[in-house]
Amino acid sequence: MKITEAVFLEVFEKFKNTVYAVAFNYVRKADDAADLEQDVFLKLLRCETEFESEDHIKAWLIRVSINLCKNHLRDRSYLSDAPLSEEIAVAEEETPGDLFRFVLALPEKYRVPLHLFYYEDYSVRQIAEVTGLPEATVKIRLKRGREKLGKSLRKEDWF
Amino acid sequence: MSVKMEYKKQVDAFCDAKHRITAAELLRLAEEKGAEDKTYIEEKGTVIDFTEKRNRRAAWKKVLSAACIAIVFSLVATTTALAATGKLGELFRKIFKDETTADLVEEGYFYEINQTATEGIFRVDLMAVTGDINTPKLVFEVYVDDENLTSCNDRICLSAYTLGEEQYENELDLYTTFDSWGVKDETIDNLYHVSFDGASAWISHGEPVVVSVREIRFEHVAQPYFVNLEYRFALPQGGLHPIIQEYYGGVRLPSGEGDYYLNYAEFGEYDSRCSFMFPYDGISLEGQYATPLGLEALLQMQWDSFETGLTLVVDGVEYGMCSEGKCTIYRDETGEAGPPGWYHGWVMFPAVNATAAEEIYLKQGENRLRIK
Repeated sequence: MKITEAVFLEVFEKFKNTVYAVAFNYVRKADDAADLEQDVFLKLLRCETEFESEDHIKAWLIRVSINLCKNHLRDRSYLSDAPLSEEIAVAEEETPGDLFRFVLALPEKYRVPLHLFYYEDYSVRQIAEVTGLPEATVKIRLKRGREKLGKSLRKEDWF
Repeated sequence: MSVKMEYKKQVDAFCDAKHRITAAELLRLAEEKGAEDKTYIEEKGTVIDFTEKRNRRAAWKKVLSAACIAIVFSLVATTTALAATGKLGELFRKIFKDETTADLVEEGYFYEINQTATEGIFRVDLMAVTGDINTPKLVFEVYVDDENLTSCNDRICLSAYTLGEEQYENELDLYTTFDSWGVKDETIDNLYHVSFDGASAWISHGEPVVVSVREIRFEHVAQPYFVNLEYRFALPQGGLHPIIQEYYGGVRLPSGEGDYYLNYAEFGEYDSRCSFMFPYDGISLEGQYATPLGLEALLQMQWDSFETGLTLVVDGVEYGMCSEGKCTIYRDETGEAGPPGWYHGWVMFPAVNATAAEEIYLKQGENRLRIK
């Protein structure tokens, strides 16, 4: 399946949140995430890959998002694990919900697999494939991430 | 409402509120970008297509890479002959607790690379590659010149690309790095050993491979260290343990979801893999599947049901698929792997001794397919 205009329109509507959410999870800045989202979809438009399926396109989008985010963080020497910026809580017009904010507050190594698990319904193997981590590492990160998230939620009386 | 549902709801609400760009604007931007490229090309008095641009980019990168290679090779030291002295096997058995790979090393399935690269506080030696054709393992030694770091971190993680030279030069954005953790040496304080799972697709006999370490992380340090350490080698014949590969060319295995055809089975030292293919003609798409992408979704759903119900039976012992998650099916337009236009998928099972087994078959419900 080539990326024709018709396919692109369908893919964009279906996966725009997927790409934006992955980018925001990495960079935690709305403007940077929007720029990265734009770059990812422009890459898709210029991509000559013959996609095998919708899942293939989605995995490609997530993988390219992760790569561009890593490059972005590397270029900026930006601390992806710095404490959650007050900007998210105060300056943004639309703030993330409490649960999303708890996930965003986790270290990158936990929040990205957790996001893919919760939001994308990705299995351990799929997370391993798009992040390049061994499955055992993903399992451990999901376990520890959920434990840390659970502590935050209990503090806020979610449970 | 479950945590998962609530999380999805909150992420969607946030993303919907933040979206500024539309698909139409992106199409316009792409068109403008294309026009800018065209203007630039015309000003330069030549016309180049996408492939040539990639080559131009590759040529530029090769200039840089050549410089990097010169640096790397100038730094190549005659490192300890780790593998030759039998230390490699010992390393896998004692440090990595990996008996399978230790046995392979002792059988002579390894290739010494012994290349060294340094950057900042790191000296990273790519010592050898071992394993089998489907599961190559790269062995690194990492020396860290920082006592504060080494004194409080017993584990270290390398994040690296393993790619063919062509993919590394021209298509890096399409691939991701892989991570593997390593452990501190028992006696040398600033030395870590890492067994890195390389990408089997690119490590094949005679083909140039590029390994590029991009991040080094410590167990108790949040921020990774970004580096760019490159190694290049080509695997000689016999460097990795072969796998048993049996071609069946399309033996039918009926299932409740339709007929699947066994293309080939691979029995490696670490796992067993069965590859199937199937046609899709005659499927009418209705309801939620009546979209350009609907056929893929429907076939994937049927495949998921098929693979989860499949078992590998070896001399009466049943093995279920060993990996969590789903295999993503793909369509082969070229006809290289089977009939043109058919879909393909594979199922992974634990490693078995296929050579010694008397009888091997696949079971799907009441249906059985004997493969040995």
